[in-house]
Amino acid sequence: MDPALVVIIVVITALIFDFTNGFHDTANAMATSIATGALKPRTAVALSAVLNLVGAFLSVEVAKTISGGIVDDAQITPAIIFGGLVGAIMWNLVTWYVGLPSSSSHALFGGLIGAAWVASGVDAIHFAKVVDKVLVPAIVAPLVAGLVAAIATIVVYRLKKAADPRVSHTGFKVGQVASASLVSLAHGTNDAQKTMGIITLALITSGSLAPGSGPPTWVIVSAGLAIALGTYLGGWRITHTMGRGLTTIEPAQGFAAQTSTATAILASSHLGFALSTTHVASGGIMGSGLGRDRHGVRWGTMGKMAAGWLLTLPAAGTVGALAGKWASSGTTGVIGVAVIGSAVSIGIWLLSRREPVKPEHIVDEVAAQAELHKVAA
Amino acid sequence: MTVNWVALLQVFGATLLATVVVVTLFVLGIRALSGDKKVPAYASFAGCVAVVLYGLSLIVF
Repeated sequence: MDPALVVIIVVITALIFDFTNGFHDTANAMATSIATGALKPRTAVALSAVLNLVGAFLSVEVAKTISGGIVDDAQITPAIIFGGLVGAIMWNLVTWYVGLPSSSSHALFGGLIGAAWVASGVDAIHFAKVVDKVLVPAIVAPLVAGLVAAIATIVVYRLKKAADPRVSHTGFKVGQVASASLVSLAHGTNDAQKTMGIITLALITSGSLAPGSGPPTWVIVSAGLAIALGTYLGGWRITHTMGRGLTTIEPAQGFAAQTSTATAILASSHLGFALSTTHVASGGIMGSGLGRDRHGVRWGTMGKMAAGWLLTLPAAGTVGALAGKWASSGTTGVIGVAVIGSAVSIGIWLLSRREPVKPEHIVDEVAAQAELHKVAA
Repeated sequence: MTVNWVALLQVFGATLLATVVVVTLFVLGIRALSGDKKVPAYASFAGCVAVVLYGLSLIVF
């Protein structure tokens, strides 16, 4: 198959991945604001979408990590990248359907590494770079966000005792919206970059760009738009788990959690660490729960989430490996992977239509929860 | 295989410092607002905005 055609297919698939990433991750930024009633779900996702778009333009460090480091661009082809992407999308859709906040980023890395490994051999992967820029930050960043969120929550709750409860309730709702906006912005600086990195990598492997190049402007714009659109259209299902399942969240606590999450992601993006914004956000929420009340975290839910996190790399890696191997075998392979990938995607989408979680459902449950908070205060 | 621990420490330090400064200023602002002290309240909120903008400027430029 004409390499240029494969590159076009990769670009389209990468943008679809970016869209599902936004779809998946609306929850991270807006879950706490929606759960405390600080923002209406529709407003929250619209705001988040715009800020993701803006964030995509702020930095290209993470894109460079992906296009210029974790795999050897001389040893892989656009077809292999295509296989890796399909693996990532499959895993993203399955976890989305089940309501598990797994990491789109780790799905992408898993898919790409699996595909490159099986199709081109173990030499095609720069494991040192993977460990330094992906694996270690994957563990450290959520811990940093959690620890800082716990400290911030303790500070906030100590200091706010002297404040008028009505003023502080309204005040923290505003603060929460501001900090949620920062999380969305931070999300754009890290997650939109991953798609840019993949497209840039495909362009480099096909010879359209020189090795070591940053993403061209059209790549930045289209990746930003795809993630923004995905954010706007999706995410109710996961918002459900994140906002309510993990721990009960008050506005002051949401504010502390999100401020630390946003800062941790922004600082990491600046250094080119390609991390999972999902994991960092969960770390922030957990840490703030601990800061408020040592017994306030539902460890059972946390355990299930952590299991999903651990599964992501190998699961997406396996699907990516199969798809990458087949796609790199020639035209039939690329077409076959595309057909199966589309069929599974449509299947899951149809299944999800059977029992849709609409924004209205979440509003009702949030209202009920807000009542409890008022009584408790 | 080298892990850049200094960079990770920077992430931790920057996150801790920026977060604690922003939330402290914000709570102080809310406390001032509760006591109807408008000027210190707005000064605190402006401080928060300044810290955030400074952080973003570090990333962009």
